[in-house]
Amino acid sequence: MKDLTKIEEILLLSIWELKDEAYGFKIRQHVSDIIGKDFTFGNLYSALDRLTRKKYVSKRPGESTPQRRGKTRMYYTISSAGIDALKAACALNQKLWGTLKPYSFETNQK
Amino acid sequence: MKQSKSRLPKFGDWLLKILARYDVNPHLRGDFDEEFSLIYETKGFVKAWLRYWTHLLRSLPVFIKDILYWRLMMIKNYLKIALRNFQRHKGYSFINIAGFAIGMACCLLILLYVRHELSYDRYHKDVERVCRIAVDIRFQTAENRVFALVSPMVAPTLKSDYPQVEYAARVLPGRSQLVKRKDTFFYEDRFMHADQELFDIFTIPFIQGTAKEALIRPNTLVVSQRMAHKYFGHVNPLGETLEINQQEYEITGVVKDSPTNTHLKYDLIASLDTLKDWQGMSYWDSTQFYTYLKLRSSLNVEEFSSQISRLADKYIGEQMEREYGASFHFFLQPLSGIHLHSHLRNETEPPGNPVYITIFSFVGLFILIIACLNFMNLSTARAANRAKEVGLRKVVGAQKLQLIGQFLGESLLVAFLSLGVAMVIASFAVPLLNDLTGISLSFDTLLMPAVLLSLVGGAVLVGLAAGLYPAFVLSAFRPAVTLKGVERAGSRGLALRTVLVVVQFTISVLLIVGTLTMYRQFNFMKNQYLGFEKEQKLILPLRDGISIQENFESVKDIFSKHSSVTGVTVSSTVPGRGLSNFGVVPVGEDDQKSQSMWHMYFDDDFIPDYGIDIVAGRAFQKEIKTDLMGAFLINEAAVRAFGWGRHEEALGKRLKTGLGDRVNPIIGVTKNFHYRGLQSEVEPLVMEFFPWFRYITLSINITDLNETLAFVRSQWKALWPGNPFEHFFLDTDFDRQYRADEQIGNIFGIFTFLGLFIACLGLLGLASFTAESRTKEIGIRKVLGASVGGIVLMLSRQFTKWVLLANCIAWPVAYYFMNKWLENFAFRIDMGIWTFVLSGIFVLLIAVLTVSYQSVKAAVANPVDSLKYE
Repeated sequence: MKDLTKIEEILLLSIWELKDEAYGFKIRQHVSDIIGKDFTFGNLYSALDRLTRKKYVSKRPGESTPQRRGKTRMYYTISSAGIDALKAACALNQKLWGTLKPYSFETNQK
Repeated sequence: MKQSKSRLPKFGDWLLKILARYDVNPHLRGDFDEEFSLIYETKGFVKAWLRYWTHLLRSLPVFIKDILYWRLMMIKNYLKIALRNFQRHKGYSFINIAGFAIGMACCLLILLYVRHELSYDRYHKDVERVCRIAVDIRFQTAENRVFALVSPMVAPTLKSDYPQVEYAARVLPGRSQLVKRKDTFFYEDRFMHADQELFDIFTIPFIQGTAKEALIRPNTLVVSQRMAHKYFGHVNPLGETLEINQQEYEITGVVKDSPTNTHLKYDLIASLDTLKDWQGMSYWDSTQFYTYLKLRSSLNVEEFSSQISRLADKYIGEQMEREYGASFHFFLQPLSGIHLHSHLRNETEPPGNPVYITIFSFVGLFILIIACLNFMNLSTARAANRAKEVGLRKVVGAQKLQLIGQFLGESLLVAFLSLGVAMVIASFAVPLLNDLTGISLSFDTLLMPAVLLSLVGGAVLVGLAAGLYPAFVLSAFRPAVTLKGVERAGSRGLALRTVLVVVQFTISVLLIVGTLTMYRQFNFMKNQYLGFEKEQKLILPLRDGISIQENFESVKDIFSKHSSVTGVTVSSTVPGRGLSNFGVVPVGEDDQKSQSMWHMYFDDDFIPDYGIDIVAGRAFQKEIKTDLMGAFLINEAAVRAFGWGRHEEALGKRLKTGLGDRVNPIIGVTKNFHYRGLQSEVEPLVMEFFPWFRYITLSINITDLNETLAFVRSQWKALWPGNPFEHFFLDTDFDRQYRADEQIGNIFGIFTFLGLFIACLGLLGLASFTAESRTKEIGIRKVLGASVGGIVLMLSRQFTKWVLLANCIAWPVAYYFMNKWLENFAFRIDMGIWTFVLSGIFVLLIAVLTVSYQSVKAAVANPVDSLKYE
């Protein structure tokens, strides 16, 4: 299993968080809010595509609304492999950050 | 809600539809729309619209990168599949590429030829302002005569009377001249006198010396590089002298060799000032000079042409009217049109024929079409082999457009490979073609960037044209059916394939009938009895500087001493060479009509030596002293032209004609003999025993040719040591008149062969395919007891039918066109049915041979193998 990139990690977490609402527009909004930058659909879908090909997420077409002019939503859900990958990423993060206290940056900077 | 929906951006959506990846395309566009709607409801249209577009634009780079990536992957895959297919079906690929390449090579060669013909004189600077002036002399009582040559007074008059003329130059064409430097002497054909302003009108680049003052002084000479090398080797020719026709010329310039695509080819240009004391320079009533003009810009050439029509009237109008009953009508010819469209008397060289350009363009197009048809034919026929691939591609999601793109790409690949091969073939063929036909094409023309670019464009076009139909057929296969293997070739497009084969064999038959007819006509012209003996006649031409007017009797005696020489005669011309033309008036007739007729002078031995028949009266006789300069012979055509009923009626009538308008009686009438090629009717001819002799004709016994030639040469050396010995045989020289047409015939023959070859390649491919697709059927038939012969017959029958049909279509078309062509010749063959039958049988034979190779292979195959097939 390959390590997740930061953006993949963020995407997976967002999909997890959004649960049944995890489709393109919502994911984009969520991610943009988290990183505080506008995250474009182009980047979103190419990242989602990578995750799909790694089988971390699965996708299924959903319903449409009048705002979408008849075009359906594509919903993403995390697969068990995706959850494993997230767990591994979390473990790695904890390993990295575990010994470090947030305030130690300030002391080191002096 | 409804409002927002109607205001959703349409253009942006369309853009996304094109750009966004296929798998998420509708969802992604939906997301865009949803965001727009949401913002529209809360913050209004402008905000929403801005947001939509900034988003779209920022996403663009990723979209484009995605597209490129996938396209590249697919192209890599297509290429791999295409190459694998080439390798697996080496035979087919060879036929495809070879056929295409040969077709293209033909087209390239034709392109070169047509380009060369059309490029005549277009390289001159400001060529649209350059014209030649020609004159139409209209007689009140006789036919008018149009000359390319005009009086020497025209150029100076134009310059002084018409300010519209910027430059005017005269060119006095020289016949071939004896050119000497120390011990080297040769006859040079491309000699002329010209005005200095020639260099202002024509683009003639100087290598040494300057164009400015090259021909200002008398006795100056500009030579081509070739001549400079020939006479001076490595010596600097500037300031050196050459002796031409016993006159010394100082060389003031060396110019680049004359291009092949100019009607006025030059090697030696002498200054016209050399001749300024010659009284002929002030004659108005002569036609001796080509006169070229450069007009000032923004001048309507046609309008100006009509303005100058009567320019000579105020100088010579009255006199012409009084003395000749004639008037001069001048007109301008654009320089660039002279080669193809001007067919006047005294052209500098035989003009080109625009009809041949059209014919060859069509032949080239035909051959290219045949090659394309083959490609289409083979690709569709092979469709079954690719059907599974297409089915599989469709199942995994290929779209029809993608498949079309794939197959078009393959045909483009073949087209480009073929173009490469065609270029190689052409580079070898150009020198061969030049040798065979005597034209001078250059392969380098094909490498010029503009031409190369258009060739590549042409290859794309041809590739698309040939690939479009197969691409559509292949991409239309339905996966469910093809994967089951039900849909086999033969069930599809059979009608079309039949049409294609029929069309190309029709074209082949057309070409073969054409070639056969041409060759038969040329053969006929060479073997037709001309009314005189043309075999075993050795001709010695006498150039300027040799005169036998006084001593022709003794010269004849010298040559007739050898035992192999059975006769010697002298004449002003020999059949096939140029004649002079004079007005002829029968004296004492009621209707004193002047007619222009050809004239020939010869001695008393000419008629018996040439074996010309006398139908009335007698030939010249040495014993009768008045015959010398005192009697005329005329031919049958002349009798008819004068309107005399019987040949005997002509005897004793007197004619006023010839040099000095002498009046003499007619003593005899000869049978019509072909003093010119069989293209033209035998025109009226007047013959006279007049001592102006330019040719010696030796009737020789061919058995001891070398020895005889050595004798003649030694006698020549003794007589005229300063002049090179030249000789030719009458029959070969006479046939030279057909050379231009024969060259065309040769080219036509080559293309016919290639066309047939391509058609056969196509048929071979198709036949082998048919045999292959019926492998099982053949196996079962054999198991059930069919004979090999029966199977071959079965496989060949359908092709035979098609070829026969092609014959039926081609025959009337060929008949029509070849009849048109034959009309160029006054004496021509009949289009016998045998030409057609022979061509038909020939094509059929070739087709059957081609097909039977495959049929036999299929028929003799062991049924056990063929039934195991697949």
